[in-house]
Amino acid sequence: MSVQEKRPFLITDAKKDPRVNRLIKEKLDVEEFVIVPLLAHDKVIGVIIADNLFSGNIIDENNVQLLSTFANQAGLAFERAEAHDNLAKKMEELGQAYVKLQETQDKLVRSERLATIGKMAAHVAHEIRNPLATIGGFAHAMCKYPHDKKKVETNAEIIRDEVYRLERILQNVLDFTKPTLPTLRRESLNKVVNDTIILLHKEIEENSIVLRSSFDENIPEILFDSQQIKQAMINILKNAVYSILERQDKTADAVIGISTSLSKKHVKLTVSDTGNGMTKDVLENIFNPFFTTRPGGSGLGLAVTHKIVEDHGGFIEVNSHVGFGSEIIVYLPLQQ
Amino acid sequence: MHEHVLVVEDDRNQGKLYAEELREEGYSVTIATSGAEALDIIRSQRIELVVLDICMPGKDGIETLSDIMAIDNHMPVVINSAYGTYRDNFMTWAADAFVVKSSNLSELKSTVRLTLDKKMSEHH
Repeated sequence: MSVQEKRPFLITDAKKDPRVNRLIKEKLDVEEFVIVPLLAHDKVIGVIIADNLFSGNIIDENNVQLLSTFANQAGLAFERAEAHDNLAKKMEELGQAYVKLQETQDKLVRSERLATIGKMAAHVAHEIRNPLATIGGFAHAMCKYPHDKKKVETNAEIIRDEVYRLERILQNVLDFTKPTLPTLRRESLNKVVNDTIILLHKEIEENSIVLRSSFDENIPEILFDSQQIKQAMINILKNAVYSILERQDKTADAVIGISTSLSKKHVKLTVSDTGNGMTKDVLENIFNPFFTTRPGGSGLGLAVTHKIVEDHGGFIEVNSHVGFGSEIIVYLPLQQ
Repeated sequence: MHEHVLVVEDDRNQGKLYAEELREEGYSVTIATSGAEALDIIRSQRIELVVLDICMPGKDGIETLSDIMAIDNHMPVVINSAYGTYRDNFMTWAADAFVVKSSNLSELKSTVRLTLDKKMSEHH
C-alpha cells in the first residue's frame, strides 16, 4: 500500500490491520510499526520499516515525519549516486568518442595531405605539359631547318621563354611547399605597401589602370615580415590587375584602390578593384591551393597569401560583387 | 584550294607552332587567341576544321565548342588540350577527336587529316 500510494503509513495494530501484508506480519511480528517509501525520480525503489520492539515507545506522527524526512534524503542521495554513475558512464563514452574522433581526424589530415600532394602532382604534371610541348615542338622545327638562321633564332627565343615559364612554375610550387615562418621585425606597413606599389607600378600603368592609394599616417609600426607581406600583396594585386583586364565591359572604369587603416586590434590593408568580381563558387575556393580561374595560373597565389597572413596571426576578408569588382582586406594584428 | 584550319589557342607560342606545322602540311591556317574571336571567324569565314584548346581565359574551349555546334553542328573539331582528363567530360564528346598536347605534333597532324577525310567521305 505504501508502495502503491507512495506515502508513509503508521500501523498501530498490525495483526488486525487488513492493510498489512501477511509476509510483513510474520517477519516483523510486532503490533506497531511505520512504513515509509523510498523514492528516487518519483519511483519507489524500496521501503523503510521502523518498529518499536526495543524501545516500546508509542510511534507518533513526529516519528513518522522524521522517518519520512530521512527517507526523502536517502532517496535524493540515491538519485545523486545514480546520476553520478550515469555521468561517469557518459564521461567514459565521451572519452572513447574523443579517442575515435582524434583517430578519424588524424586519418582525415593524412588523407587530406595525400590529396593535396596528389592534386599538386597532377597540377604540376599538367602545367609543365604546355611549355614542354612548345619547347619540344619548336626544337623539332629547329632540327628540320638547321640552316634557316632566322627560324633557329626565333625558335631558340621561344624555347628560352618557355624554359623561364617552367622555372616559374617550379618556383611557385617550391614557395608553396616550403615551410617558412615569418621573421618578424617592427616596421611601417605603409612603407612596405608603398614599396610594393612601386614594384608593380609599371604593370598597372601599362594596362591603363588607375591606381588610387591612401595611407593612414597614424598606423604605428607593427611586427611583420616585410618580404612575406610584400609577396602576399603582390599576389593580391596581380589578381586585381587580371580581373580588371578580364572585365566584360572594357570601357568601364579600370581602378585599383589600395588603402591602409586602423581598427581596434588590427591594421587593415585593403585592395579593391573594378574587375569582374567573383561568383559564390569562386569565392569559396580562392584560398584553396591549385584553384585558379586564370589560364596558366598556378592557383597558388592567394593560397600563399592566406598562409602568410595566418602565420602573422591575421586574417583576410573578401567582398565581391559579380560585374562590379572585389575588395580584399588583410587584417594584421597590432600586437603579437 | 587549301583546306582552312582555325587554331584556337590562347598561348601565343603554341598557336604559332601549330600554325607553322599545319601550314607545312598544306593547310591554310588562321589563329584565334580566344573563344570569342574563334566564333567571329567561324561566322565570317569558311572554315573546314577547328583545332580547339580548352583552358583559355574568358570563354573556355568547352563553352566555345557548344557555341560552335550552335552555329554549325557539322563543323569538324579536334580538341587539343594539355589536360587528358577533359576526355572524361561529356561536354567534350561533341568534338570529333581529342588529342593531348605533346611536343610530337604528328598525332595532332594525323588526327586533323583523318577527321577532315572522314567528314569529306560522309558528305559524298
